[in-house]
Amino acid sequence: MPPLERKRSEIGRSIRSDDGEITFYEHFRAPLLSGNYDVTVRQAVSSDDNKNAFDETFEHRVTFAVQGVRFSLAPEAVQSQFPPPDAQGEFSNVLSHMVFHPRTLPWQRTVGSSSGEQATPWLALLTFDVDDPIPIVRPGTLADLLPGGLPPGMISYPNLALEYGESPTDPVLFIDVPATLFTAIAPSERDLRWLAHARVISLETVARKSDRDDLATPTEFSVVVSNRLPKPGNRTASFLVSLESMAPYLPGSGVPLPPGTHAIRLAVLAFWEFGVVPLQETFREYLIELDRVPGTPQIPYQPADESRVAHVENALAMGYTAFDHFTRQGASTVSWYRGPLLPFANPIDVEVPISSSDALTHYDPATAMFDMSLGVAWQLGQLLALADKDFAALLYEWKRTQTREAVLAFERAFLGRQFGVELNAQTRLHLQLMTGAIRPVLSAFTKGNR
Amino acid sequence: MKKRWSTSDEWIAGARAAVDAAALDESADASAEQRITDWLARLRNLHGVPFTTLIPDVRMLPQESIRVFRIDENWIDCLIDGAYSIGRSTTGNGDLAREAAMFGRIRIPLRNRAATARPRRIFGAEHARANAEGSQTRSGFLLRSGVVSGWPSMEVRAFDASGRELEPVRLDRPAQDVLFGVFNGELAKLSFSEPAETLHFGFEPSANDAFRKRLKWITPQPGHPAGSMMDAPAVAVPMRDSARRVIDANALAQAIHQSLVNTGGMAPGAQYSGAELALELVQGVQQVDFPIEGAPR
Repeated sequence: MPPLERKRSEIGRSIRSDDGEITFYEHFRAPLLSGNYDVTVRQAVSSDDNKNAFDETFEHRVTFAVQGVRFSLAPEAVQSQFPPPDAQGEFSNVLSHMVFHPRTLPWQRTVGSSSGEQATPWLALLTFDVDDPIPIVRPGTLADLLPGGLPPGMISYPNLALEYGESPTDPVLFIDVPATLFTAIAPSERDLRWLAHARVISLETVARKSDRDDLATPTEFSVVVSNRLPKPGNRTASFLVSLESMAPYLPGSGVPLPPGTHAIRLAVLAFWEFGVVPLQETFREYLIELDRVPGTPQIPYQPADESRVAHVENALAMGYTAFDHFTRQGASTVSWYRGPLLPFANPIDVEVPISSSDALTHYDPATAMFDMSLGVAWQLGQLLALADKDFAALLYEWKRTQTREAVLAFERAFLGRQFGVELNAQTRLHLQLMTGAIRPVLSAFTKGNR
Repeated sequence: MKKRWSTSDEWIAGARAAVDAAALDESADASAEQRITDWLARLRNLHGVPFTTLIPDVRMLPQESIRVFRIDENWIDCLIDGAYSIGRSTTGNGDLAREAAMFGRIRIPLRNRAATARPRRIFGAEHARANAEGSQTRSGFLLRSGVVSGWPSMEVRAFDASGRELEPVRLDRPAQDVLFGVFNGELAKLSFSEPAETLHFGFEPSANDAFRKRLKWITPQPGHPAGSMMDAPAVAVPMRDSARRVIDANALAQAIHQSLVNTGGMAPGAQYSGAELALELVQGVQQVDFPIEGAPR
């Protein structure tokens, strides 16, 4: 498949916000829509030569399937949902939306549009509230969406054909929406085009986000928006449903639903609930209400009785915690420990390297308590290095090589001094000794005998 | 001449001195040194260190709290030395002089490598941010709140006292609702903002349970960049079904387009699509700044 090139016609219009932080795109079209493909190559060869005339056609056929998202969506493909799942807040004047990583996701399949309009998304976000009521998500199989598995009076995807790799026993989640409700709240075909778009953010913005387990944070997203505002005071649910080939059933299509239909079965790819109440769980409110006292990691000092012990209070203010300590000699005491996260700036005064963690144990004779922080750090580093066998072997080999090289270099210099020869590291030692030291001595002998 | 080969003592002393000095101009195996530096750089950023070692008591970081800290470089030096002690002999005088000399070779590259590991991964090895220097002091913050689980891709910026932005050396979530950030320098201001890619569509309520939307400039004019608010009257949001609060997306798009053309927000012939509608409908991003005061003791 050729790499996705960003031709103007493929991505639609784009517009950047003022500081270039985010760019909106009308759509990102996939180069190949999902489905089964058939490629036939024919080559006609002919010759007019009288003796060997022939006229043959050779044909080769290749079938392949482009499987995209169809009835289920991997959780990693979802970047975020708004309002956040199970959040409570003033959401009565916002439209819920979902953000995905595959930037072509809403345009990978078609809604079966009769006008031939290419860029109509096949995903819609339907919002229900308690008064509707909220449909129950039922787990089933693909057979429940095929005409054979539908109860009377219910319709589902018209002309649903299983693609390569799909079987009627594949699991699927679905909801049954009453026909009148569907006609009232589903987006029309023209609405759908306005309710999905794509966004691209800059690398600088990516650097400001928290890392996700060493996965690269993507910069390109697609967004699907709901068309219904939540009702205040209610529990509300949003469902991401597939509307593949459902253009004739959408409101405003001019085609009435088949007679006797009282419900429509839709496959659900994702869903979540939130509450619309005057509680303030917005982003800003969360942060403003944060506990900021004390501003640094410390345990607040709460003496068991009236007396305040000064050194305990000071230690807690410096970020220490006390732990039970069972020493190697069998004694049992209480010692201070502190991690590397300090409430204040500390000058660097520890001298490395150290021979063992015991050398880092601090003792305060006034209180007869140990401070084990640095010893714990040293031992933790040693254990982490040992746990990684590759690193431990690498470090050990490196040190041995360094020592060996240092001794060899010294030996070369030493021997050179003794023999009065300049020895270098490139050629082998004995060759240099031969040419530089032994041979002149031998030649002095042989010369003398001549 | 009577010269005896009795320089063995001299040889032993000289060899020991050479080992202690570890004075090699070029390491025989530079790639091993690079891999060792990379591994220790990860440790220097506290990767792999159990979280209970960093915060030993849950009362230090209660629910819905934020704490700022300075990194104790003594603790970090001991951690690195513990890892580096593999292969160290401690009998007698031991190898301490040799170890100090060999570690001295990688001390500064280790600090720089630790500070640039993250920007190197995001921006690539050639970018300016991936080749900066590591600072002597590092500071950071811990945020434990529902806002971290609700807005997982929220954006964090840190600034020092002179207003310069600090590079995040580490920024990740040890738990669903805990955000841990370490920065290259001394923190004076932290800024949290909603993620840019999840800007949501919203409207203002107006009379009679209806909604309206104030417009933003599409075609930039002098003094009015694209995306800034216009002074024009707001557009009423057409509803397909008021009782069920279903908006008519197509009619809304056309109404906004018409109003933009009438008020000069965009040129009459300019292309109008879902991208322009998205720019009009997004609500602003919320941002909260925390200035950090108090001189360190």
